[in-house]
Amino acid sequence: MPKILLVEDEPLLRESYRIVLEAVSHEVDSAANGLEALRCCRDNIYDLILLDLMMPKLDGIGFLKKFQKNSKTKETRIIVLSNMTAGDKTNQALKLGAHKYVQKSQVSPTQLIKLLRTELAAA
Amino acid sequence: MNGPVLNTQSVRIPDPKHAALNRIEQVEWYKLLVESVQDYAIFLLDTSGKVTSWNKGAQKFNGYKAEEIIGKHFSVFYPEKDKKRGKPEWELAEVRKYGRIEDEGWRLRKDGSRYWANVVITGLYDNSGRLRGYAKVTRDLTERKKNEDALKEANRVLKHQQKELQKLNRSKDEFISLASHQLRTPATIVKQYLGILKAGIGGPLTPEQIELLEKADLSNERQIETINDLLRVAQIDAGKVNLDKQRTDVAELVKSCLDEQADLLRQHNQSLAFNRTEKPALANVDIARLRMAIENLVNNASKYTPDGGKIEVLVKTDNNEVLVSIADNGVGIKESDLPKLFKQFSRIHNELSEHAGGSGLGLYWANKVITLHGGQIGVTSKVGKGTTFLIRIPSRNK
Repeated sequence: MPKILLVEDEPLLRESYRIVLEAVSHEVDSAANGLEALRCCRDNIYDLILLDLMMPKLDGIGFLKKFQKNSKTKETRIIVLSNMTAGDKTNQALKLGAHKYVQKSQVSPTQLIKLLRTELAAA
Repeated sequence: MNGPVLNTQSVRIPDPKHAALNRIEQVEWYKLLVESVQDYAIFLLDTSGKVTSWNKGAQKFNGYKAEEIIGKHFSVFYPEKDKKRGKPEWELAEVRKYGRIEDEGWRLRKDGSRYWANVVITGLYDNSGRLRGYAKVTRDLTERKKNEDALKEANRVLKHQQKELQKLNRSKDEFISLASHQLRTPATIVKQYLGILKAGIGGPLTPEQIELLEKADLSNERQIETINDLLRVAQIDAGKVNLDKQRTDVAELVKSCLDEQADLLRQHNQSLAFNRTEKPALANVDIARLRMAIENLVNNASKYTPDGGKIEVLVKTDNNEVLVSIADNGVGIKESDLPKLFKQFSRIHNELSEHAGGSGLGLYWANKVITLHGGQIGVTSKVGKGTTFLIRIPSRNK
Protein backbone atom coordinates (compact mmCIF):
# COMPACT_ATOMS: atom_id res chain seq x y z
CA MET A 1 0.00 0.00 0.00
CA PRO A 2 1.51 3.34 -1.05
CA LYS A 3 2.43 5.59 1.83
CA ILE A 4 1.35 9.19 1.44
CA LEU A 5 2.07 12.30 3.49
CA LEU A 6 -0.69 14.88 3.30
CA VAL A 7 0.37 18.39 4.31
CA GLU A 8 -2.60 20.78 4.46
CA ASP A 9 -3.55 23.35 7.10
CA GLU A 10 -7.29 23.71 6.35
CA PRO A 11 -8.92 20.96 8.48
CA LEU A 12 -12.01 20.27 6.35
CA LEU A 13 -9.91 20.09 3.22
CA ARG A 14 -7.30 17.88 4.86
CA GLU A 15 -10.07 15.55 6.01
CA SER A 16 -11.60 15.37 2.52
CA TYR A 17 -8.26 14.42 0.94
CA ARG A 18 -7.69 11.80 3.62
CA ILE A 19 -11.10 10.26 2.94
CA VAL A 20 -10.35 10.06 -0.78
CA LEU A 21 -6.86 8.62 -0.39
CA GLU A 22 -7.88 6.01 2.13
CA ALA A 23 -10.86 4.99 -0.02
CA VAL A 24 -8.40 3.87 -2.72
CA SER A 25 -6.06 2.04 -0.38
CA HIS A 26 -3.39 4.47 0.45
CA GLU A 27 -1.80 4.73 3.87
CA VAL A 28 -2.13 8.37 4.82
CA ASP A 29 -0.26 10.44 7.39
CA SER A 30 -1.51 14.02 7.90
CA ALA A 31 0.35 17.14 8.85
CA ALA A 32 -1.17 20.60 9.40
CA ASN A 33 1.97 22.56 8.59
CA GLY A 34 5.60 22.28 7.47
CA LEU A 35 6.96 21.62 10.97
CA GLU A 36 4.66 18.67 11.57
CA ALA A 37 5.50 17.43 8.08
CA LEU A 38 9.24 17.48 8.81
CA ARG A 39 8.59 15.51 12.01
CA CYS A 40 6.71 12.88 10.01
CA CYS A 41 9.54 12.72 7.48
CA ARG A 42 12.11 12.06 10.25
CA ASP A 43 10.44 8.78 11.12
CA ASN A 44 9.00 7.70 7.79
CA ILE A 45 9.81 7.35 4.14
CA TYR A 46 6.88 8.30 1.91
CA ASP A 47 6.11 7.34 -1.67
CA LEU A 48 4.41 10.64 -2.27
CA ILE A 49 3.93 13.97 -0.48
CA LEU A 50 0.95 16.24 -1.19
CA LEU A 51 2.17 19.66 -0.12
CA ASP A 52 0.15 22.80 0.47
CA LEU A 53 2.07 26.08 0.23
CA MET A 54 0.33 28.58 2.49
CA MET A 55 0.50 27.22 6.03
CA PRO A 56 1.28 28.70 9.44
CA LYS A 57 4.47 27.95 11.41
CA LEU A 58 6.37 26.61 8.40
CA ASP A 59 5.00 27.00 4.91
CA GLY A 60 5.48 24.77 1.88
CA ILE A 61 8.58 26.57 0.63
CA GLY A 62 10.10 26.37 4.12
CA PHE A 63 9.41 22.65 4.23
CA LEU A 64 11.03 22.05 0.83
CA LYS A 65 14.15 23.92 1.91
CA LYS A 66 14.51 21.74 5.00
CA PHE A 67 13.37 18.43 3.51
CA GLN A 68 16.29 16.04 3.56
CA LYS A 69 17.14 14.77 0.11
CA ASN A 70 19.07 11.56 0.60
CA SER A 71 19.30 8.10 -0.93
CA LYS A 72 16.16 6.98 0.89
CA THR A 73 13.99 9.95 -0.04
CA LYS A 74 15.09 10.38 -3.63
CA GLU A 75 12.18 8.21 -4.80
CA THR A 76 9.61 10.36 -2.98
CA ARG A 77 7.36 12.26 -5.38
CA ILE A 78 6.38 15.70 -4.17
CA ILE A 79 3.24 17.31 -5.57
CA VAL A 80 2.43 20.88 -4.63
CA LEU A 81 -1.32 21.05 -4.10
CA SER A 82 -2.04 24.74 -3.61
CA ASN A 83 -4.78 27.24 -4.27
CA MET A 84 -2.25 29.88 -5.22
CA THR A 85 -2.30 30.97 -8.83
CA ALA A 86 0.75 29.80 -10.75
CA GLY A 87 3.55 32.30 -10.30
CA ASP A 88 6.72 33.06 -8.38
CA LYS A 89 5.95 30.87 -5.33
CA THR A 90 4.92 27.83 -7.34
CA ASN A 91 7.92 28.19 -9.62
CA GLN A 92 10.16 28.41 -6.58
CA ALA A 93 8.64 25.21 -5.21
CA LEU A 94 9.40 23.41 -8.46
CA LYS A 95 12.98 24.63 -8.30
CA LEU A 96 13.30 23.42 -4.70
CA GLY A 97 12.46 19.84 -5.60
CA ALA A 98 8.70 19.59 -6.09
CA HIS A 99 7.89 17.52 -9.16
CA LYS A 100 4.56 19.03 -10.06
CA TYR A 101 2.21 21.89 -9.19
CA VAL A 102 -1.55 21.41 -9.23
CA GLN A 103 -4.18 23.94 -8.32
CA LYS A 104 -6.57 22.60 -5.69
CA SER A 105 -9.72 24.18 -7.10
CA GLN A 106 -9.09 22.48 -10.44
CA VAL A 107 -8.83 18.95 -9.05
CA SER A 108 -11.80 16.77 -8.11
CA PRO A 109 -11.35 13.60 -6.00
CA THR A 110 -11.56 11.45 -9.12
CA GLN A 111 -8.90 13.55 -10.82
CA LEU A 112 -6.73 13.44 -7.69
CA ILE A 113 -6.83 9.65 -7.70
CA LYS A 114 -5.85 9.58 -11.38
CA LEU A 115 -3.04 12.04 -10.72
CA LEU A 116 -1.66 9.95 -7.89
CA ARG A 117 -1.77 6.82 -9.97
CA THR A 118 0.34 8.51 -12.66
CA GLU A 119 2.82 9.97 -10.19
CA LEU A 120 3.28 6.78 -8.19
CA ALA A 121 3.91 4.87 -11.41
CA ALA A 122 6.56 7.41 -12.35
CA ALA A 123 8.42 6.91 -9.06
CA MET B 1 -33.14 108.69 -25.02
CA ASN B 2 -29.95 109.51 -23.02
CA GLY B 3 -26.45 109.92 -24.36
CA PRO B 4 -24.87 111.16 -27.54
CA VAL B 5 -27.24 111.68 -30.46
CA LEU B 6 -27.02 113.07 -33.94
CA ASN B 7 -28.56 116.45 -34.74
CA THR B 8 -30.13 115.64 -38.08
CA GLN B 9 -30.90 119.31 -38.65
CA SER B 10 -27.20 120.12 -39.09
CA VAL B 11 -25.75 116.69 -39.88
CA ARG B 12 -26.83 114.59 -42.87
CA ILE B 13 -27.07 110.77 -43.01
CA PRO B 14 -24.51 109.41 -45.51
CA ASP B 15 -26.23 108.55 -48.81
CA PRO B 16 -24.47 107.46 -52.04
CA LYS B 17 -27.13 109.33 -54.04
CA HIS B 18 -26.21 112.66 -52.50
CA ALA B 19 -23.01 114.66 -52.12
CA ALA B 20 -20.36 113.42 -49.65
CA LEU B 21 -20.42 114.64 -46.05
CA ASN B 22 -18.49 117.82 -45.32
CA ARG B 23 -15.69 117.98 -42.74
CA ILE B 24 -17.88 119.07 -39.83
CA GLU B 25 -20.44 116.39 -40.56
CA GLN B 26 -17.68 113.74 -40.62
CA VAL B 27 -16.38 114.92 -37.25
CA GLU B 28 -19.92 114.77 -35.81
CA TRP B 29 -20.21 111.18 -37.01
CA TYR B 30 -16.82 110.21 -35.42
CA LYS B 31 -17.86 111.85 -32.15
CA LEU B 32 -21.09 109.86 -32.21
CA LEU B 33 -19.16 106.66 -32.93
CA VAL B 34 -16.75 107.01 -30.02
CA GLU B 35 -19.16 108.45 -27.49
CA SER B 36 -21.93 105.90 -28.12
CA VAL B 37 -19.94 102.68 -27.74
CA GLN B 38 -20.81 101.11 -24.38
CA ASP B 39 -18.71 97.95 -24.56
CA TYR B 40 -15.37 99.67 -24.76
CA ALA B 41 -14.03 102.61 -22.78
CA ILE B 42 -12.51 104.87 -25.45
CA PHE B 43 -10.98 108.12 -24.31
CA LEU B 44 -8.04 110.49 -24.77
CA LEU B 45 -5.13 111.28 -22.47
CA ASP B 46 -2.87 114.26 -22.87
CA THR B 47 0.92 113.82 -22.92
CA SER B 48 1.08 113.98 -19.13
CA GLY B 49 -1.54 111.28 -18.78
CA LYS B 50 -4.55 113.43 -17.85
CA VAL B 51 -7.97 112.41 -19.17
CA THR B 52 -9.23 114.79 -21.85
CA SER B 53 -12.28 112.96 -23.24
CA TRP B 54 -14.79 110.34 -22.11
CA ASN B 55 -17.35 107.97 -23.60
CA LYS B 56 -20.37 105.92 -22.57
CA GLY B 57 -18.27 102.77 -22.12
CA ALA B 58 -15.77 104.57 -19.91
CA GLN B 59 -18.56 105.85 -17.71
CA LYS B 60 -20.08 102.37 -17.54
CA PHE B 61 -16.79 100.67 -16.54
CA ASN B 62 -15.36 103.29 -14.27
CA GLY B 63 -18.44 104.91 -12.82
CA TYR B 64 -17.26 108.51 -13.42
CA LYS B 65 -19.32 111.05 -15.30
CA ALA B 66 -17.37 113.08 -17.88
CA GLU B 67 -17.27 116.25 -15.77
CA GLU B 68 -15.93 114.28 -12.75
CA ILE B 69 -12.94 112.75 -14.53
CA ILE B 70 -11.76 115.08 -17.24
CA GLY B 71 -8.54 116.75 -16.15
CA LYS B 72 -7.69 113.97 -13.65
CA HIS B 73 -4.58 111.76 -14.14
CA PHE B 74 -5.37 108.29 -15.49
CA SER B 75 -3.45 106.65 -12.60
CA VAL B 76 -6.64 107.10 -10.59
CA PHE B 77 -7.91 103.94 -12.35
CA TYR B 78 -5.05 101.82 -11.04
CA PRO B 79 -4.95 99.87 -7.74
CA GLU B 80 -2.68 101.23 -4.98
CA LYS B 81 -0.16 98.42 -5.55
CA ASP B 82 0.28 99.30 -9.21
CA LYS B 83 0.49 103.01 -8.49
CA LYS B 84 3.30 102.38 -5.98
CA ARG B 85 5.19 100.31 -8.53
CA GLY B 86 4.85 103.16 -11.04
CA LYS B 87 2.85 101.07 -13.49
CA PRO B 88 0.86 103.90 -15.12
CA GLU B 89 4.01 105.90 -15.93
CA TRP B 90 5.77 102.77 -17.12
CA GLU B 91 2.93 102.04 -19.55
CA LEU B 92 3.13 105.53 -21.08
CA ALA B 93 6.91 105.11 -21.38
CA GLU B 94 6.37 101.84 -23.27
CA VAL B 95 3.97 103.59 -25.66
CA ARG B 96 6.53 106.29 -26.28
CA LYS B 97 9.03 103.54 -27.16
CA TYR B 98 6.88 101.17 -29.21
CA GLY B 99 3.86 103.23 -30.24
CA ARG B 100 1.39 101.06 -28.34
CA ILE B 101 0.99 98.74 -25.37
CA GLU B 102 -1.55 96.06 -24.51
CA ASP B 103 -2.04 94.99 -20.93
CA GLU B 104 -4.43 93.03 -18.74
CA GLY B 105 -4.94 93.78 -15.09
CA TRP B 106 -7.17 95.03 -12.33
CA ARG B 107 -8.59 98.55 -12.63
CA LEU B 108 -10.51 100.59 -10.04
CA ARG B 109 -13.96 102.03 -10.35
CA LYS B 110 -15.12 105.29 -8.78
CA ASP B 111 -16.66 103.32 -5.88
CA GLY B 112 -13.36 101.51 -5.16
CA SER B 113 -14.49 98.17 -6.57
CA ARG B 114 -12.27 96.57 -9.16
CA TYR B 115 -12.72 94.97 -12.56
CA TRP B 116 -10.40 92.93 -14.81
CA ALA B 117 -9.51 95.05 -17.82
CA ASN B 118 -7.86 94.52 -21.17
CA VAL B 119 -6.23 97.85 -22.00
CA VAL B 120 -4.68 99.16 -25.22
CA ILE B 121 -2.88 102.52 -25.13
CA THR B 122 -1.89 103.99 -28.48
CA GLY B 123 0.33 107.00 -29.10
CA LEU B 124 -1.18 109.88 -31.11
CA TYR B 125 1.17 111.94 -33.33
CA ASP B 126 1.04 115.16 -35.22
CA ASN B 127 2.25 115.66 -38.80
CA SER B 128 5.79 116.38 -37.57
CA GLY B 129 5.90 113.04 -35.75
CA ARG B 130 5.59 114.57 -32.28
CA LEU B 131 3.60 112.68 -29.63
CA ARG B 132 0.55 114.73 -28.75
CA GLY B 133 -1.47 112.41 -26.56
CA TYR B 134 -2.70 108.88 -26.04
CA ALA B 135 -5.78 106.92 -27.06
CA LYS B 136 -6.94 104.49 -24.36
CA VAL B 137 -9.28 101.61 -25.27
CA THR B 138 -10.36 99.35 -22.43
CA ARG B 139 -12.48 96.19 -22.29
CA ASP B 140 -14.06 94.84 -19.15
CA LEU B 141 -13.06 91.19 -18.99
CA THR B 142 -14.18 90.52 -15.44
CA GLU B 143 -16.73 87.94 -16.63
CA ARG B 144 -14.14 86.18 -18.74
CA LYS B 145 -11.61 86.18 -15.91
CA LYS B 146 -14.21 84.83 -13.52
CA ASN B 147 -14.91 82.04 -15.99
CA GLU B 148 -11.21 81.33 -16.50
CA ASP B 149 -10.56 81.19 -12.77
CA ALA B 150 -13.57 78.94 -12.27
CA LEU B 151 -12.28 76.69 -15.04
CA LYS B 152 -8.82 76.50 -13.44
CA GLU B 153 -10.36 75.58 -10.12
CA ALA B 154 -12.64 72.99 -11.71
CA ASN B 155 -9.60 71.52 -13.46
CA ARG B 156 -7.71 71.31 -10.19
CA VAL B 157 -10.63 69.59 -8.51
CA LEU B 158 -10.98 67.18 -11.44
CA LYS B 159 -7.29 66.25 -11.31
CA HIS B 160 -7.58 65.62 -7.59
CA GLN B 161 -10.69 63.49 -8.09
CA GLN B 162 -8.90 61.57 -10.83
CA LYS B 163 -6.05 60.74 -8.43
CA GLU B 164 -8.53 59.64 -5.78
CA LEU B 165 -10.37 57.44 -8.28
CA GLN B 166 -7.13 55.81 -9.38
CA LYS B 167 -6.28 55.08 -5.75
CA LEU B 168 -9.75 53.63 -5.25
CA ASN B 169 -9.40 51.55 -8.39
CA ARG B 170 -6.15 50.06 -7.15
CA SER B 171 -7.59 49.21 -3.76
CA LYS B 172 -10.60 47.72 -5.55
CA ASP B 173 -8.29 45.35 -7.41
CA GLU B 174 -6.47 44.42 -4.21
CA PHE B 175 -9.77 43.80 -2.46
CA ILE B 176 -11.04 41.62 -5.29
CA SER B 177 -7.80 39.63 -5.19
CA LEU B 178 -8.02 39.11 -1.45
CA ALA B 179 -11.71 38.24 -1.44
CA SER B 180 -11.31 35.85 -4.37
CA HIS B 181 -8.45 34.00 -2.69
CA GLN B 182 -10.56 33.66 0.43
CA LEU B 183 -13.51 32.37 -1.57
CA ARG B 184 -11.40 29.71 -3.26
CA THR B 185 -11.00 27.68 -0.07
CA PRO B 186 -14.64 26.93 0.76
CA ALA B 187 -15.41 26.38 -2.93
CA THR B 188 -12.58 23.86 -3.08
CA ILE B 189 -13.86 22.09 0.03
CA VAL B 190 -17.36 21.81 -1.43
CA LYS B 191 -15.81 20.42 -4.63
CA GLN B 192 -14.04 17.69 -2.66
CA TYR B 193 -17.05 16.58 -0.64
CA LEU B 194 -19.38 16.58 -3.62
CA GLY B 195 -16.80 14.52 -5.46
CA ILE B 196 -16.54 12.12 -2.54
CA LEU B 197 -20.31 11.62 -2.52
CA LYS B 198 -20.52 11.27 -6.31
CA ALA B 199 -17.77 8.67 -6.31
CA GLY B 200 -19.82 6.60 -3.86
CA ILE B 201 -17.18 6.86 -1.13
CA GLY B 202 -19.86 7.99 1.34
CA GLY B 203 -22.03 5.03 0.41
CA PRO B 204 -24.01 3.82 -2.64
CA LEU B 205 -26.27 6.39 -4.29
CA THR B 206 -29.49 6.21 -6.25
CA PRO B 207 -29.44 7.73 -9.76
CA GLU B 208 -31.68 10.51 -8.50
CA GLN B 209 -29.22 11.35 -5.75
CA ILE B 210 -26.35 11.41 -8.21
CA GLU B 211 -28.30 13.77 -10.43
CA LEU B 212 -28.93 16.13 -7.52
CA LEU B 213 -25.26 16.10 -6.63
CA GLU B 214 -24.39 16.81 -10.28
CA LYS B 215 -26.44 19.97 -10.19
CA ALA B 216 -24.70 21.18 -7.05
CA ASP B 217 -21.33 20.25 -8.51
CA LEU B 218 -21.97 22.13 -11.75
CA SER B 219 -22.93 25.25 -9.91
CA ASN B 220 -19.91 25.01 -7.67
CA GLU B 221 -17.68 24.62 -10.73
CA ARG B 222 -19.17 27.77 -12.13
CA GLN B 223 -18.43 29.52 -8.85
CA ILE B 224 -14.82 28.35 -9.00
CA GLU B 225 -14.56 29.53 -12.61
CA THR B 226 -15.89 32.95 -11.65
CA ILE B 227 -13.42 33.20 -8.78
CA ASN B 228 -10.55 32.32 -11.10
CA ASP B 229 -11.76 34.85 -13.65
CA LEU B 230 -12.06 37.53 -10.95
CA LEU B 231 -8.52 36.91 -9.81
CA ARG B 232 -7.19 37.04 -13.36
CA VAL B 233 -9.07 40.22 -14.12
CA ALA B 234 -8.06 41.92 -10.86
CA GLN B 235 -4.47 41.07 -11.62
CA ILE B 236 -4.53 42.39 -15.15
CA ASP B 237 -6.48 45.52 -14.18
CA ALA B 238 -3.97 46.27 -11.45
CA GLY B 239 -1.27 46.18 -14.12
CA LYS B 240 0.41 43.29 -12.38
CA VAL B 241 0.62 41.02 -15.39
CA ASN B 242 4.08 40.60 -16.86
CA LEU B 243 3.84 38.71 -20.10
CA ASP B 244 6.25 35.81 -20.33
CA LYS B 245 6.89 36.19 -24.05
CA GLN B 246 8.52 33.50 -26.13
CA ARG B 247 8.92 33.22 -29.87
CA THR B 248 6.24 30.73 -30.84
CA ASP B 249 4.50 29.35 -33.90
CA VAL B 250 1.02 30.60 -33.06
CA ALA B 251 -0.55 28.11 -35.46
CA GLU B 252 0.96 25.23 -33.43
CA LEU B 253 -0.32 26.81 -30.22
CA VAL B 254 -3.82 27.18 -31.63
CA LYS B 255 -3.77 23.61 -32.94
CA SER B 256 -2.88 22.22 -29.51
CA CYS B 257 -5.66 24.31 -27.92
CA LEU B 258 -8.15 22.88 -30.37
CA ASP B 259 -6.96 19.33 -29.70
CA GLU B 260 -7.75 19.82 -26.03
CA GLN B 261 -11.19 21.17 -26.81
CA ALA B 262 -12.07 18.45 -29.29
CA ASP B 263 -14.05 16.53 -26.64
CA LEU B 264 -16.21 19.52 -25.81
CA LEU B 265 -17.10 20.04 -29.46
CA ARG B 266 -17.78 16.36 -29.97
CA GLN B 267 -20.23 16.41 -27.05
CA HIS B 268 -22.25 18.99 -28.96
CA ASN B 269 -21.77 17.32 -32.30
CA GLN B 270 -20.02 20.40 -33.60
CA SER B 271 -17.50 20.12 -36.39
CA LEU B 272 -14.15 21.83 -36.18
CA ALA B 273 -12.10 22.85 -39.19
CA PHE B 274 -8.57 24.13 -38.76
CA ASN B 275 -6.46 25.73 -41.45
CA ARG B 276 -3.09 27.31 -41.18
CA THR B 277 -0.53 29.06 -43.25
CA GLU B 278 2.24 26.73 -44.40
CA LYS B 279 5.14 28.62 -42.96
CA PRO B 280 5.41 29.17 -39.20
CA ALA B 281 3.20 31.96 -37.86
CA LEU B 282 5.85 33.29 -35.52
CA ALA B 283 5.20 35.90 -32.86
CA ASN B 284 6.44 36.75 -29.38
CA VAL B 285 3.65 35.58 -27.11
CA ASP B 286 2.93 34.55 -23.54
CA ILE B 287 2.02 30.95 -24.31
CA ALA B 288 -0.10 30.17 -21.24
CA ARG B 289 -2.12 33.37 -21.50
CA LEU B 290 -2.64 33.27 -25.24
CA ARG B 291 -3.85 29.68 -24.88
CA MET B 292 -6.39 30.82 -22.31
CA ALA B 293 -7.62 33.59 -24.58
CA ILE B 294 -8.00 31.22 -27.55
CA GLU B 295 -9.72 28.62 -25.36
CA ASN B 296 -12.14 31.26 -24.22
CA LEU B 297 -13.04 32.27 -27.76
CA VAL B 298 -13.45 28.68 -28.94
CA ASN B 299 -15.57 27.91 -25.86
CA ASN B 300 -17.78 30.86 -26.67
CA ALA B 301 -18.07 29.75 -30.27
CA SER B 302 -19.24 26.34 -29.07
CA LYS B 303 -21.59 27.75 -26.45
CA TYR B 304 -23.35 30.07 -28.85
CA THR B 305 -23.66 27.60 -31.68
CA PRO B 306 -26.45 25.00 -31.63
CA ASP B 307 -25.62 21.31 -31.66
CA GLY B 308 -24.49 20.15 -35.06
CA GLY B 309 -22.99 23.51 -35.91
CA LYS B 310 -19.63 24.36 -37.45
CA ILE B 311 -16.58 26.14 -36.10
CA GLU B 312 -13.73 27.22 -38.37
CA VAL B 313 -10.38 28.35 -37.09
CA LEU B 314 -7.83 29.91 -39.37
CA VAL B 315 -4.28 31.08 -38.67
CA LYS B 316 -2.40 33.11 -41.21
CA THR B 317 0.19 35.84 -41.48
CA ASP B 318 -0.17 39.21 -43.11
CA ASN B 319 2.87 41.45 -43.43
CA ASN B 320 3.97 41.82 -39.84
CA GLU B 321 0.94 40.39 -38.10
CA VAL B 322 -0.33 36.96 -37.15
CA LEU B 323 -4.08 36.62 -37.65
CA VAL B 324 -6.23 34.07 -35.87
CA SER B 325 -9.87 33.93 -36.85
CA ILE B 326 -12.47 31.88 -35.01
CA ALA B 327 -15.74 31.66 -36.89
CA ASP B 328 -18.96 29.91 -35.96
CA ASN B 329 -22.33 29.55 -37.67
CA GLY B 330 -24.23 30.03 -34.43
CA VAL B 331 -26.82 32.47 -33.14
CA GLY B 332 -24.79 35.58 -33.88
CA ILE B 333 -24.67 38.87 -31.97
CA LYS B 334 -27.00 41.84 -32.39
CA GLU B 335 -25.29 44.98 -33.65
CA SER B 336 -26.50 46.84 -30.57
CA ASP B 337 -24.81 44.27 -28.32
CA LEU B 338 -21.39 44.47 -30.00
CA PRO B 339 -20.07 47.44 -27.97
CA LYS B 340 -20.87 45.62 -24.70
CA LEU B 341 -19.01 42.49 -25.71
CA PHE B 342 -15.62 43.22 -24.18
CA LYS B 343 -16.91 44.86 -21.02
CA GLN B 344 -16.70 43.28 -17.57
CA PHE B 345 -19.59 40.97 -16.69
CA SER B 346 -21.20 41.61 -20.05
CA ARG B 347 -24.20 39.40 -20.50
CA ILE B 348 -25.86 39.11 -23.83
CA HIS B 349 -29.23 37.47 -24.08
CA ASN B 350 -30.13 35.13 -26.90
CA GLU B 351 -31.70 31.69 -27.22
CA LEU B 352 -28.53 29.90 -26.08
CA SER B 353 -27.33 32.24 -23.32
CA GLU B 354 -29.49 30.75 -20.58
CA HIS B 355 -27.39 27.60 -20.40
CA ALA B 356 -24.15 29.20 -21.39
CA GLY B 357 -22.83 29.75 -17.88
CA GLY B 358 -19.55 31.56 -17.58
CA SER B 359 -18.68 34.62 -15.56
CA GLY B 360 -18.92 37.32 -18.21
CA LEU B 361 -15.26 38.14 -17.66
CA GLY B 362 -13.62 35.89 -20.24
CA LEU B 363 -13.81 38.24 -23.21
CA TYR B 364 -12.82 41.23 -21.11
CA TRP B 365 -9.70 39.40 -19.96
CA ALA B 366 -8.89 37.98 -23.40
CA ASN B 367 -9.15 41.45 -24.90
CA LYS B 368 -6.81 42.88 -22.28
CA VAL B 369 -4.26 40.12 -22.80
CA ILE B 370 -4.23 40.59 -26.58
CA THR B 371 -3.95 44.34 -26.10
CA LEU B 372 -0.96 43.81 -23.79
CA HIS B 373 0.64 41.88 -26.65
CA GLY B 374 0.23 44.95 -28.81
CA GLY B 375 -2.58 43.32 -30.75
CA GLN B 376 -6.35 43.64 -31.00
CA ILE B 377 -9.51 41.55 -31.16
CA GLY B 378 -12.20 42.41 -33.67
CA VAL B 379 -15.63 40.87 -34.10
CA THR B 380 -18.13 40.69 -36.93
CA SER B 381 -21.47 39.03 -36.61
CA LYS B 382 -24.88 38.53 -38.12
CA VAL B 383 -27.85 37.40 -36.07
CA GLY B 384 -28.88 33.93 -37.11
CA LYS B 385 -25.81 33.45 -39.31
CA GLY B 386 -22.85 33.39 -36.93
CA THR B 387 -19.93 35.27 -35.44
CA THR B 388 -16.28 35.67 -36.34
CA PHE B 389 -13.63 36.83 -33.91
CA LEU B 390 -10.36 38.01 -35.39
CA ILE B 391 -7.21 38.27 -33.28
CA ARG B 392 -4.29 40.24 -34.66
CA ILE B 393 -0.88 39.99 -33.01
CA PRO B 394 2.25 41.78 -34.19
CA SER B 395 4.92 39.32 -35.35
CA ARG B 396 7.66 41.43 -33.90
CA ASN B 397 7.84 43.32 -30.62
CA LYS B 398 6.82 46.91 -31.23
